[in-house]
Amino acid sequence: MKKLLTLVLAVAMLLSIGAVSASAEDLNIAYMPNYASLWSVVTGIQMGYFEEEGLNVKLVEFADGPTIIAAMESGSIDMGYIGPGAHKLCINGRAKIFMLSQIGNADAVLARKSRGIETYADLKGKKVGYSSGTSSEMILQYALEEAGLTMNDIQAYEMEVSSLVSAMVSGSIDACAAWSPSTATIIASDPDDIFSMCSNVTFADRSVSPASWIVLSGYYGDHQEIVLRFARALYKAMDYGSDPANFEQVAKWVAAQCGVDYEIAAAQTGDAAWPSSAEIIAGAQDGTIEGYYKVQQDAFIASGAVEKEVPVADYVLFDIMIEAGK
Amino acid sequence: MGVLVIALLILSVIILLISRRDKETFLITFLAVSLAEFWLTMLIYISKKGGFGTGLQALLFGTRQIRLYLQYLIFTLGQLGYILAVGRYLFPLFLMWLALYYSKRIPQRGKRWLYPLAAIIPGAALIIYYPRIFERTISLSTGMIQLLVRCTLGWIIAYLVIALALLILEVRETSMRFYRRQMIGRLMMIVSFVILYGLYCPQDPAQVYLFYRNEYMGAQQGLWYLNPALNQRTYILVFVLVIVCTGVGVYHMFRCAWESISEGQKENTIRRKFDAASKGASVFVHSVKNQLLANRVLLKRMDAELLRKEPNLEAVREHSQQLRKSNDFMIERMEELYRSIRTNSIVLVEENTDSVLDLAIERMKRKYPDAAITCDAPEHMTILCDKTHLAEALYNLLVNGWEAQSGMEQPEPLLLRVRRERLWTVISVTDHGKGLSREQRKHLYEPFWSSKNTNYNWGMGLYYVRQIVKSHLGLLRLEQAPGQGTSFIVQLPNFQRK
Repeated sequence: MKKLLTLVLAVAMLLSIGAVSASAEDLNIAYMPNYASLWSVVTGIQMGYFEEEGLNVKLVEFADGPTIIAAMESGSIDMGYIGPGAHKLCINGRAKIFMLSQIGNADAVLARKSRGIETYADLKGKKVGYSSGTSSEMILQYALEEAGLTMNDIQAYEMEVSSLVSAMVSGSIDACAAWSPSTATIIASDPDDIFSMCSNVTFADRSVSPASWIVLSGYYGDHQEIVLRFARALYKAMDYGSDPANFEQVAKWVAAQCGVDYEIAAAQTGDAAWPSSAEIIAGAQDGTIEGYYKVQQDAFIASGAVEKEVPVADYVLFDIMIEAGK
Repeated sequence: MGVLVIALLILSVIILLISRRDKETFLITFLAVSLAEFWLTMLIYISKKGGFGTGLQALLFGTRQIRLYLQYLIFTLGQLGYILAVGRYLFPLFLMWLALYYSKRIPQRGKRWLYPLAAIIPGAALIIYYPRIFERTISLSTGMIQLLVRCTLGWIIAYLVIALALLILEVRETSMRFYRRQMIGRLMMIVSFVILYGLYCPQDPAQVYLFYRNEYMGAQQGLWYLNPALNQRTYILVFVLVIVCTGVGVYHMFRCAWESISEGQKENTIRRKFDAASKGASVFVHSVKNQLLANRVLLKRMDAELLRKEPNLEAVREHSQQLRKSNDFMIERMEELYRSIRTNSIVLVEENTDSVLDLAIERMKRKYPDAAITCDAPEHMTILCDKTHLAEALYNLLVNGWEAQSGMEQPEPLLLRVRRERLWTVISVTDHGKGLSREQRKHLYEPFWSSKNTNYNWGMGLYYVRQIVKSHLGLLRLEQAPGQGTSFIVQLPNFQRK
């Protein structure tokens, strides 16, 4: 009898182990190789917050937000992080935002003094590289508008961000609009000549630059519970990562994930004000976050990137932000 | 592995181009290069866009360094997209041309206009997809981008299907086993190319030009390279297939080229032999004809003499003797020629060098009784030889030497010398004639080549000597120095009875 009982218990234990492993959900999560994209998700992995939620997170690197949305549409990615520029695709109904990551200040327009550029007006007729559809294009348009210029007044070179870095460093172009850490790499290549003309803060009066975690409507409809668990883990990670005392540790994790030196990752800790879960929950409840997205949408409409106004609640899942905090 | 496959494609065509340069090789080269270009551009694009794990990174790029190198190459989206378009639109064209080239069903006359006809659509696509023209074209109407993307994919698929069908049909209709095997090898390689191309064939360059634009995103075209079907397993399968099939195809083509080279060499040898025989026959006919004409003159003289009432019998007798002499000479020349070309069997036996030299000198004295020969040979020296043939060869060298001194008032004696030299028994014949010019030395051993009067010398002497010496496992060399005369040296392996 004892033997039979032992056998039954052993089988039950094995089954329970199997049940636990079966409930661990494998997730392919898209990110961009910078601190702003990784600060919370890499902390969640390292601190075991996703594991606590029964999630097995696999990170996949992408160059930019629109590519991440395309990857989600192809079915190879479950959830992902996007920068400010790709938010127009969410407004246009391509994806839903379920978590604000941070309000960033990572975008900048860089120029070479040796090419005669000191003011926005000097950009006229110059070779300027930018990544269309991303925050790079947005900040370049703001800078041009300041001098009463349009994209037609410059020699615009459409590139993705790694080509921007090479082209700017080699001197193939006179100016470019990029984001961190590419901006830091470009300036570091020739600090005496290359300078930052402006950043997101410069245009704070007309736009904010929120970066967010997104999911496709279809995936959200089928896996609402998983999205909630992911958001819960993110909150725990944000609470850890938003504490300045932990910046050094998070920067080390980010550097390891991106395969770059610690100093490069650490330099990016100033790219934004990293929010805690409490700040986001409060913001979601009192409409502050909705306000950010509204201002951003207005800016998109003004620039022509978005045709018509869409209620923010149609593409931002405030319920998840609030529910995950409970 | 992706980068490796591109390198393999390039390497294969280089090997092919080294071994052969015909229309087929050029078409396969164009096909492989357009595929390599298309794939390399895709890899650059993928490296820039991301979206792969470390496993795929290793599979596609090999190392992180290679990926970073490609990622940071400077391209505008327009440049990158158009380079992609060039590979994408040229590959189906080259495939179609190759299929037309192989097809025996389509008559040659039909092919002449099918080649340029097949180039019209890809050519038009390359014009339309030029970034500035493309942007203007899609701005014509909202549905234009969809139309272009679909039409382009449509003709590409049609080209691939028609070309493959032609190739398969060609293999089916080839009944000779050798050619069938050759065709299957090529078909395997081409099909593997098509599969590799097919992985990214739906990758419209619009994706690169317009990916970030509302026009493209609005059309929900997505990113083809992120298709989940293109997982690690698919890549490995296709890469292995391409490596194996390209190897098989290149091997078949290389073998074909090698066989063609061997065939060419064989053909050259036969041609040379024919030329030699033809030259020989010409010299022979010319020489015999001259002799026969001379004989006819003698016969005419004899007839004229005999028609007289009182013929001068003394004169007739003289003409008759001349006629006999001429006849004997012709027989002798023919026998010499016959001996020269009839060297099929050589029987090597132990012989004393004295007996061989004696036989050669005896023959020489018969021809040139006045010839002076100094013989310097140790006694009782043995060699392994065919006495008759070797003596004949030495006789030829002696005749050459003596004739080389023919213009001299007081010709010096020929020196016939035998000695041991390391591993060789050396027999040399030295004359003191004027020697041989560089040009003469170049043709020395060629059959039917002679620097002398061709009526009496048919140029087979030294060719024959060389053949005989080679048959004795020996060497024949020429040495000449001012004041020391000209020596033909026969080196025969030393023979020692154990």
